[in-house]
Amino acid sequence: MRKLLYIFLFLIPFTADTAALMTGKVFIDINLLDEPNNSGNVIESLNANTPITIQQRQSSWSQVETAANIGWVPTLTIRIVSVTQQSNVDGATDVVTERLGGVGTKKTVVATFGIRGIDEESLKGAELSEEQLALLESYQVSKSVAAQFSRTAGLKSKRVDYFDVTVEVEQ
Amino acid sequence: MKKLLFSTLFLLVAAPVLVFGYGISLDFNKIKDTLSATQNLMIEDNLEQEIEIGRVISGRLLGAHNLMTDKQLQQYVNKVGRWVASQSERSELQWQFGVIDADSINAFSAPGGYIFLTKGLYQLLNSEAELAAVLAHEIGHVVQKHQLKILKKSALIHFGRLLVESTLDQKQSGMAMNNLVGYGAEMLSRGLDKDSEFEADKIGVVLTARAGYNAYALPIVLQEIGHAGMNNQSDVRLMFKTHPHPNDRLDELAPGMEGFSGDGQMVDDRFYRI
Repeated sequence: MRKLLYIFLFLIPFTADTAALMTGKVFIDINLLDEPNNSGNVIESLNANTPITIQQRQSSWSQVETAANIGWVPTLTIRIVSVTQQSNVDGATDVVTERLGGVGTKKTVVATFGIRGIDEESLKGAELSEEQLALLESYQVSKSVAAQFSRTAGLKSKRVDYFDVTVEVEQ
Repeated sequence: MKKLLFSTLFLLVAAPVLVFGYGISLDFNKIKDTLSATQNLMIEDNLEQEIEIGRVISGRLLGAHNLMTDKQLQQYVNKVGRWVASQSERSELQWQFGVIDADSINAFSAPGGYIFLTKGLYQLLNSEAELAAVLAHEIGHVVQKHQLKILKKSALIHFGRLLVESTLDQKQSGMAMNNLVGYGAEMLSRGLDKDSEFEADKIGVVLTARAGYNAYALPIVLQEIGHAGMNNQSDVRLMFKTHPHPNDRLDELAPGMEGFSGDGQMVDDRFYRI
Protein backbone atom coordinates (compact mmCIF):
# COMPACT_ATOMS: atom_id res chain seq x y z
CA MET A 1 0.00 0.00 0.00
CA ARG A 2 2.78 2.37 1.01
CA LYS A 3 4.64 1.59 -2.18
CA LEU A 4 1.51 2.30 -4.17
CA LEU A 5 1.16 5.59 -2.36
CA TYR A 6 4.69 6.65 -3.26
CA ILE A 7 4.08 5.81 -6.87
CA PHE A 8 0.87 7.78 -6.76
CA LEU A 9 2.52 10.77 -5.12
CA PHE A 10 5.30 10.64 -7.64
CA LEU A 11 2.77 10.76 -10.46
CA ILE A 12 1.17 13.89 -9.09
CA PRO A 13 3.01 16.83 -10.55
CA PHE A 14 3.71 19.71 -8.20
CA THR A 15 1.86 22.28 -10.24
CA ALA A 16 -0.60 25.04 -9.51
CA ASP A 17 -3.39 22.47 -9.98
CA THR A 18 -2.12 20.43 -7.08
CA ALA A 19 -2.86 21.68 -3.60
CA ALA A 20 -0.85 20.50 -0.63
CA LEU A 21 -2.38 20.65 2.82
CA MET A 22 0.39 20.60 5.37
CA THR A 23 -0.01 19.72 8.98
CA GLY A 24 2.75 20.00 11.52
CA LYS A 25 3.67 21.32 14.91
CA VAL A 26 5.52 24.21 16.45
CA PHE A 27 8.77 22.98 17.89
CA ILE A 28 9.23 25.67 20.53
CA ASP A 29 6.90 27.56 22.89
CA ILE A 30 5.56 30.42 20.78
CA ASN A 31 2.70 32.93 20.77
CA LEU A 32 0.01 32.70 18.11
CA LEU A 33 -0.52 36.26 16.87
CA ASP A 34 -3.41 37.90 15.02
CA GLU A 35 -1.07 39.56 12.49
CA PRO A 36 2.02 38.37 10.61
CA ASN A 37 4.38 40.61 12.56
CA ASN A 38 5.76 40.89 16.06
CA SER A 39 3.40 43.71 17.05
CA GLY A 40 0.34 41.50 16.57
CA ASN A 41 -1.87 40.63 19.55
CA VAL A 42 -1.45 37.28 21.24
CA ILE A 43 -4.38 34.97 20.51
CA GLU A 44 -3.01 31.86 22.17
CA SER A 45 0.23 30.71 23.77
CA LEU A 46 1.32 27.52 22.07
CA ASN A 47 3.49 24.96 23.78
CA ALA A 48 6.18 23.11 21.85
CA ASN A 49 4.67 20.23 19.87
CA THR A 50 1.23 21.83 19.55
CA PRO A 51 -0.28 20.44 16.35
CA ILE A 52 -1.11 22.97 13.63
CA THR A 53 -2.31 23.09 10.03
CA ILE A 54 -0.59 25.54 7.70
CA GLN A 55 -3.05 27.80 5.90
CA GLN A 56 -0.78 30.17 4.00
CA ARG A 57 2.58 31.87 4.10
CA GLN A 58 3.34 35.54 4.05
CA SER A 59 6.84 36.88 4.19
CA SER A 60 8.57 35.10 7.09
CA TRP A 61 5.26 34.20 8.74
CA SER A 62 2.86 31.31 8.36
CA GLN A 63 -0.84 31.40 9.10
CA VAL A 64 -1.72 28.29 11.05
CA GLU A 65 -4.82 26.73 12.51
CA THR A 66 -4.73 25.17 15.95
CA ALA A 67 -7.53 23.19 17.61
CA ALA A 68 -9.07 26.46 18.78
CA ASN A 69 -7.77 29.37 16.72
CA ILE A 70 -6.27 30.67 13.51
CA GLY A 71 -3.29 33.00 13.71
CA TRP A 72 0.31 33.64 12.72
CA VAL A 73 3.65 32.21 13.83
CA PRO A 74 7.16 32.66 12.37
CA THR A 75 7.70 30.08 9.62
CA LEU A 76 10.93 28.89 11.18
CA THR A 77 9.12 27.70 14.32
CA ILE A 78 7.18 25.06 12.37
CA ARG A 79 8.08 21.49 11.51
CA ILE A 80 5.85 19.78 8.97
CA VAL A 81 4.51 16.41 10.10
CA SER A 82 2.31 15.30 7.25
CA VAL A 83 1.28 16.35 3.80
CA THR A 84 -2.02 15.81 2.05
CA GLN A 85 -1.99 16.01 -1.71
CA GLN A 86 -5.28 17.04 -3.28
CA SER A 87 -5.49 16.52 -6.99
CA ASN A 88 -8.44 17.34 -9.19
CA VAL A 89 -9.02 14.75 -11.85
CA ASP A 90 -12.14 15.03 -14.03
CA GLY A 91 -13.93 17.00 -11.38
CA ALA A 92 -13.33 14.39 -8.71
CA THR A 93 -11.01 15.01 -5.81
CA ASP A 94 -8.64 12.33 -4.67
CA VAL A 95 -7.11 12.89 -1.32
CA VAL A 96 -4.10 10.96 -0.26
CA THR A 97 -2.81 11.46 3.22
CA GLU A 98 0.31 10.07 4.68
CA ARG A 99 0.87 10.56 8.38
CA LEU A 100 4.40 10.36 9.57
CA GLY A 101 5.85 10.58 13.02
CA GLY A 102 9.18 11.47 14.47
CA VAL A 103 9.49 14.82 12.79
CA GLY A 104 12.02 17.11 14.33
CA THR A 105 14.14 14.22 15.45
CA LYS A 106 17.60 13.89 13.95
CA LYS A 107 16.80 11.68 11.00
CA THR A 108 19.68 10.09 9.25
CA VAL A 109 20.05 9.34 5.60
CA VAL A 110 17.67 6.90 4.01
CA ALA A 111 18.71 3.87 1.99
CA THR A 112 21.06 4.44 -0.90
CA PHE A 113 19.65 1.96 -3.34
CA GLY A 114 17.01 2.59 -5.94
CA ILE A 115 18.00 6.17 -6.63
CA ARG A 116 16.30 7.48 -9.69
CA GLY A 117 18.08 10.07 -11.72
CA ILE A 118 21.63 10.79 -10.77
CA ASP A 119 23.44 8.12 -8.90
CA GLU A 120 27.04 7.36 -8.17
CA GLU A 121 27.42 4.72 -10.83
CA SER A 122 26.06 6.87 -13.65
CA LEU A 123 28.38 9.68 -12.61
CA LYS A 124 31.43 7.47 -12.33
CA GLY A 125 30.86 5.92 -15.71
CA ALA A 126 29.83 9.10 -17.51
CA GLU A 127 31.78 10.51 -20.43
CA LEU A 128 32.27 14.25 -20.76
CA SER A 129 29.71 15.75 -23.14
CA GLU A 130 31.15 18.69 -25.12
CA GLU A 131 27.80 19.06 -26.86
CA GLN A 132 25.94 19.55 -23.59
CA LEU A 133 28.63 21.92 -22.30
CA ALA A 134 28.21 24.04 -25.43
CA LEU A 135 24.45 24.04 -24.91
CA LEU A 136 24.93 25.09 -21.29
CA GLU A 137 27.18 27.93 -22.38
CA SER A 138 24.62 29.10 -24.92
CA TYR A 139 22.15 29.82 -22.11
CA GLN A 140 24.62 31.97 -20.18
CA VAL A 141 23.59 35.59 -19.63
CA SER A 142 25.64 38.65 -18.79
CA LYS A 143 25.57 40.49 -15.51
CA SER A 144 23.80 43.43 -17.14
CA VAL A 145 21.08 41.29 -18.75
CA ALA A 146 20.42 39.68 -15.37
CA ALA A 147 20.28 43.09 -13.69
CA GLN A 148 17.79 44.30 -16.28
CA PHE A 149 15.67 41.19 -15.71
CA SER A 150 15.67 41.77 -11.96
CA ARG A 151 14.49 45.35 -12.41
CA THR A 152 11.40 44.20 -14.34
CA ALA A 153 10.26 42.44 -11.15
CA GLY A 154 11.12 45.47 -9.02
CA LEU A 155 14.02 43.69 -7.33
CA LYS A 156 16.65 45.94 -5.81
CA SER A 157 19.94 44.81 -4.39
CA LYS A 158 20.47 45.50 -0.71
CA ARG A 159 23.43 45.57 1.57
CA VAL A 160 23.21 42.56 3.85
CA ASP A 161 26.13 41.29 5.94
CA TYR A 162 27.00 37.64 6.36
CA PHE A 163 26.35 35.98 9.70
CA ASP A 164 28.48 33.18 11.19
CA VAL A 165 30.52 32.97 7.98
CA THR A 166 33.78 34.52 6.87
CA VAL A 167 33.93 35.17 3.15
CA GLU A 168 37.16 36.34 1.59
CA VAL A 169 36.72 39.13 -0.91
CA GLU A 170 38.18 37.93 -4.17
CA GLN A 171 37.25 36.94 -7.64
CA MET B 1 54.13 28.93 -0.81
CA LYS B 2 56.32 26.67 -2.89
CA LYS B 3 58.47 26.02 0.12
CA LEU B 4 55.45 25.20 2.21
CA LEU B 5 54.12 22.96 -0.49
CA PHE B 6 57.39 21.14 -0.77
CA SER B 7 57.57 20.73 2.98
CA THR B 8 54.04 19.32 3.03
CA LEU B 9 54.80 16.93 0.25
CA PHE B 10 58.06 16.01 1.90
CA LEU B 11 56.18 15.11 5.05
CA LEU B 12 53.66 13.13 3.06
CA VAL B 13 56.34 11.36 1.11
CA ALA B 14 59.32 11.13 3.36
CA ALA B 15 57.71 10.58 6.74
CA PRO B 16 56.49 7.08 6.00
CA VAL B 17 59.89 6.27 4.57
CA LEU B 18 61.67 7.43 7.69
CA VAL B 19 59.27 5.86 10.13
CA PHE B 20 58.82 2.53 8.52
CA GLY B 21 62.20 2.37 6.84
CA TYR B 22 60.99 1.30 3.44
CA GLY B 23 63.83 0.66 1.10
CA ILE B 24 62.72 3.11 -1.52
CA SER B 25 65.22 5.55 -2.89
CA LEU B 26 63.62 8.79 -3.88
CA ASP B 27 64.98 10.83 -6.70
CA PHE B 28 64.43 14.30 -5.30
CA ASN B 29 65.53 15.99 -8.50
CA LYS B 30 62.83 14.08 -10.30
CA ILE B 31 60.34 15.06 -7.64
CA LYS B 32 61.31 18.72 -7.96
CA ASP B 33 60.89 18.55 -11.74
CA THR B 34 57.57 16.83 -11.38
CA LEU B 35 56.42 19.36 -8.86
CA SER B 36 57.19 22.27 -11.12
CA ALA B 37 55.16 20.54 -13.81
CA THR B 38 52.23 19.64 -11.61
CA GLN B 39 52.01 22.07 -8.74
CA ASN B 40 50.46 24.80 -10.84
CA LEU B 41 47.91 22.29 -11.96
CA MET B 42 46.28 21.91 -8.57
CA ILE B 43 48.00 23.74 -5.81
CA GLU B 44 48.12 27.39 -6.76
CA ASP B 45 44.99 29.53 -6.81
CA ASN B 46 44.51 29.85 -10.49
CA LEU B 47 41.15 30.89 -11.87
CA GLU B 48 41.70 29.38 -15.29
CA GLN B 49 42.45 25.98 -13.79
CA GLU B 50 39.52 26.23 -11.41
CA ILE B 51 37.18 26.89 -14.34
CA GLU B 52 38.70 24.03 -16.34
CA ILE B 53 38.23 21.59 -13.45
CA GLY B 54 34.63 22.77 -13.07
CA ARG B 55 34.05 22.43 -16.81
CA VAL B 56 35.28 18.84 -16.89
CA ILE B 57 33.25 17.83 -13.83
CA SER B 58 30.16 19.53 -15.27
CA GLY B 59 30.72 17.90 -18.65
CA ARG B 60 30.70 14.51 -16.99
CA LEU B 61 27.56 15.32 -15.02
CA LEU B 62 25.89 16.39 -18.27
CA GLY B 63 27.20 13.26 -19.94
CA ALA B 64 25.21 11.27 -17.37
CA HIS B 65 22.13 13.50 -17.46
CA ASN B 66 21.34 15.95 -20.20
CA LEU B 67 20.01 19.43 -19.75
CA MET B 68 16.27 19.84 -20.10
CA THR B 69 15.46 20.92 -23.63
CA ASP B 70 13.23 23.85 -22.59
CA LYS B 71 15.30 26.84 -23.74
CA GLN B 72 13.05 29.38 -22.04
CA LEU B 73 13.42 27.57 -18.75
CA GLN B 74 17.21 27.47 -19.03
CA GLN B 75 17.43 31.16 -19.90
CA TYR B 76 15.09 32.05 -17.05
CA VAL B 77 17.21 30.11 -14.55
CA ASN B 78 20.37 31.76 -15.89
CA LYS B 79 18.89 35.24 -15.47
CA VAL B 80 17.82 34.55 -11.89
CA GLY B 81 21.06 32.78 -11.05
CA ARG B 82 23.29 35.43 -12.59
CA TRP B 83 21.48 38.16 -10.67
CA VAL B 84 22.01 36.31 -7.40
CA ALA B 85 25.65 35.53 -8.23
CA SER B 86 26.17 39.24 -8.97
CA GLN B 87 25.56 39.89 -5.27
CA SER B 88 28.45 37.63 -4.31
CA GLU B 89 32.17 38.27 -3.81
CA ARG B 90 32.82 36.38 -7.07
CA SER B 91 30.43 38.35 -9.24
CA GLU B 92 32.80 38.43 -12.21
CA LEU B 93 32.94 34.67 -12.72
CA GLN B 94 31.31 33.42 -15.91
CA TRP B 95 28.44 31.77 -14.03
CA GLN B 96 26.49 29.09 -15.85
CA PHE B 97 23.27 27.51 -14.64
CA GLY B 98 21.40 24.49 -15.90
CA VAL B 99 18.34 22.38 -15.11
CA ILE B 100 19.16 18.74 -15.72
CA ASP B 101 16.63 16.19 -16.82
CA ALA B 102 16.50 14.03 -13.69
CA ASP B 103 13.62 13.23 -11.37
CA SER B 104 15.78 13.15 -8.27
CA ILE B 105 15.63 16.17 -5.97
CA ASN B 106 19.01 17.80 -5.72
CA ALA B 107 21.30 20.65 -6.74
CA PHE B 108 25.00 20.66 -7.50
CA SER B 109 27.85 23.05 -8.08
CA ALA B 110 31.30 22.67 -9.53
CA PRO B 111 34.35 24.95 -9.24
CA GLY B 112 34.49 27.98 -11.49
CA GLY B 113 30.79 28.86 -11.37
CA TYR B 114 28.86 25.86 -12.69
CA ILE B 115 25.49 25.37 -10.98
CA PHE B 116 22.86 22.72 -11.64
CA LEU B 117 19.54 21.70 -10.21
CA THR B 118 17.39 18.75 -11.16
CA LYS B 119 13.97 18.90 -12.75
CA GLY B 120 12.67 17.10 -9.63
CA LEU B 121 13.82 19.90 -7.34
CA TYR B 122 12.62 22.61 -9.73
CA GLN B 123 9.13 21.10 -9.68
CA LEU B 124 9.02 21.43 -5.89
CA LEU B 125 9.55 25.19 -6.08
CA ASN B 126 6.71 27.69 -5.97
CA SER B 127 8.35 31.05 -6.55
CA GLU B 128 11.33 32.79 -8.09
CA ALA B 129 12.64 33.57 -4.60
CA GLU B 130 12.77 29.84 -3.83
CA LEU B 131 14.65 29.20 -7.06
CA ALA B 132 17.02 32.06 -6.19
CA ALA B 133 17.58 30.56 -2.74
CA VAL B 134 18.48 27.12 -4.09
CA LEU B 135 20.91 28.68 -6.57
CA ALA B 136 22.28 30.98 -3.86
CA HIS B 137 23.14 27.97 -1.68
CA GLU B 138 25.12 26.43 -4.55
CA ILE B 139 26.73 29.78 -5.38
CA GLY B 140 27.84 29.81 -1.74
CA HIS B 141 29.84 26.62 -2.31
CA VAL B 142 31.64 28.19 -5.26
CA VAL B 143 32.28 31.46 -3.41
CA GLN B 144 33.91 29.50 -0.58
CA LYS B 145 35.61 27.11 -3.03
CA HIS B 146 34.42 24.16 -0.98
CA GLN B 147 34.89 21.56 -3.70
CA LEU B 148 38.20 22.99 -4.80
CA LYS B 149 39.58 22.80 -1.27
CA ILE B 150 38.70 19.11 -1.05
CA LEU B 151 40.17 18.45 -4.48
CA LYS B 152 43.39 20.17 -3.46
CA LYS B 153 43.62 18.06 -0.34
CA SER B 154 42.97 14.99 -2.41
CA ALA B 155 45.63 16.11 -4.90
CA LEU B 156 48.26 16.39 -2.20
CA ILE B 157 47.55 12.90 -0.94
CA HIS B 158 47.37 11.47 -4.42
CA PHE B 159 50.56 13.06 -5.67
CA GLY B 160 52.23 12.18 -2.39
CA ARG B 161 51.46 8.51 -2.90
CA LEU B 162 52.73 8.61 -6.45
CA LEU B 163 55.88 10.34 -5.35
CA VAL B 164 56.54 7.66 -2.77
CA GLU B 165 56.51 5.24 -5.63
CA SER B 166 58.83 7.69 -7.39
CA THR B 167 57.27 6.91 -10.70
CA LEU B 168 55.43 10.08 -11.53
CA ASP B 169 56.03 10.79 -15.19
CA GLN B 170 54.03 12.98 -17.50
CA LYS B 171 51.65 10.21 -18.49
CA GLN B 172 50.88 9.34 -14.92
CA SER B 173 50.50 12.94 -13.88
CA GLY B 174 47.81 13.13 -16.58
CA MET B 175 46.20 10.04 -15.12
CA ALA B 176 46.35 11.59 -11.68
CA MET B 177 44.55 14.65 -13.00
CA ASN B 178 41.96 12.39 -14.58
CA ASN B 179 41.41 10.54 -11.35
CA LEU B 180 41.07 13.82 -9.55
CA VAL B 181 38.37 15.05 -11.89
CA GLY B 182 36.69 11.68 -11.46
CA TYR B 183 36.81 12.28 -7.75
CA GLY B 184 35.19 15.67 -8.32
CA ALA B 185 32.37 14.03 -10.27
CA GLU B 186 31.99 11.47 -7.54
CA MET B 187 31.81 14.30 -5.01
CA LEU B 188 28.60 15.39 -6.73
CA SER B 189 27.03 12.17 -5.53
CA ARG B 190 28.86 11.90 -2.20
CA GLY B 191 28.41 15.47 -1.10
CA LEU B 192 30.47 17.79 1.03
CA ASP B 193 30.85 17.80 4.78
CA LYS B 194 28.03 19.09 6.99
CA ASP B 195 29.81 22.30 7.93
CA SER B 196 30.25 23.27 4.28
CA GLU B 197 26.54 22.72 3.74
CA PHE B 198 25.57 24.83 6.74
CA GLU B 199 27.97 27.54 5.57
CA ALA B 200 26.45 27.49 2.08
CA ASP B 201 22.97 27.81 3.62
CA LYS B 202 24.02 30.92 5.53
CA ILE B 203 25.64 32.45 2.47
CA GLY B 204 22.58 31.45 0.45
CA VAL B 205 20.20 33.30 2.76
CA VAL B 206 22.33 36.46 2.59
CA LEU B 207 22.74 36.39 -1.20
CA THR B 208 18.99 35.81 -1.61
CA ALA B 209 18.29 38.84 0.58
CA ARG B 210 20.94 40.97 -1.16
CA ALA B 211 19.22 40.21 -4.48
CA GLY B 212 15.97 41.66 -3.10
CA TYR B 213 14.20 38.35 -2.55
CA ASN B 214 12.66 37.18 0.70
CA ALA B 215 15.43 35.79 2.88
CA TYR B 216 13.05 33.13 4.18
CA ALA B 217 12.82 31.51 0.75
CA LEU B 218 15.58 29.03 1.61
CA PRO B 219 13.99 27.92 4.91
CA ILE B 220 10.71 27.49 3.02
CA VAL B 221 12.40 25.26 0.41
CA LEU B 222 14.04 23.26 3.21
CA GLN B 223 10.64 22.69 4.77
CA GLU B 224 9.25 21.56 1.41
CA ILE B 225 12.14 19.16 0.90
CA GLY B 226 11.80 18.00 4.49
CA HIS B 227 8.24 16.86 3.99
CA ALA B 228 9.06 15.31 0.62
CA GLY B 229 11.74 13.37 2.48
CA MET B 230 9.27 12.26 5.11
CA ASN B 231 7.39 10.45 2.39
CA ASN B 232 10.63 8.56 1.87
CA GLN B 233 10.40 9.10 -1.84
CA SER B 234 13.40 7.69 -3.60
CA ASP B 235 13.75 10.98 -5.47
CA VAL B 236 15.10 12.72 -2.39
CA ARG B 237 17.45 9.97 -1.31
CA LEU B 238 20.46 11.44 -3.03
CA MET B 239 19.66 14.85 -1.57
CA PHE B 240 19.76 13.33 1.91
CA LYS B 241 22.94 11.52 1.03
CA THR B 242 24.69 14.66 -0.18
CA HIS B 243 23.22 17.16 2.28
CA PRO B 244 22.38 17.12 6.01
CA HIS B 245 18.70 16.57 6.84
CA PRO B 246 16.62 19.71 6.15
CA ASN B 247 15.51 19.89 9.78
CA ASP B 248 19.13 20.00 10.93
CA ARG B 249 19.78 22.73 8.38
CA LEU B 250 16.77 24.71 9.62
CA ASP B 251 17.98 24.39 13.20
CA GLU B 252 21.41 25.67 12.18
CA LEU B 253 19.91 28.61 10.29
CA ALA B 254 17.31 29.63 12.86
CA PRO B 255 19.43 31.81 15.21
CA GLY B 256 20.88 33.88 12.36
CA MET B 257 17.48 34.31 10.71
CA GLU B 258 16.28 36.45 13.61
CA GLY B 259 17.96 39.42 11.97
CA PHE B 260 15.88 39.13 8.80
CA SER B 261 12.49 40.79 8.60
CA GLY B 262 11.37 38.82 5.57
CA ASP B 263 10.43 41.94 3.66
CA GLY B 264 11.98 40.86 0.37
CA GLN B 265 9.95 39.65 -2.60
CA MET B 266 8.84 36.10 -3.38
CA VAL B 267 8.14 36.89 -7.09
CA ASP B 268 5.69 34.09 -7.72
CA ASP B 269 3.78 35.76 -10.56
CA ARG B 270 6.49 35.42 -13.18
CA PHE B 271 7.95 32.17 -11.83
CA TYR B 272 8.47 29.85 -14.81
CA ARG B 273 6.55 26.65 -14.10
CA ILE B 274 7.27 23.32 -15.73
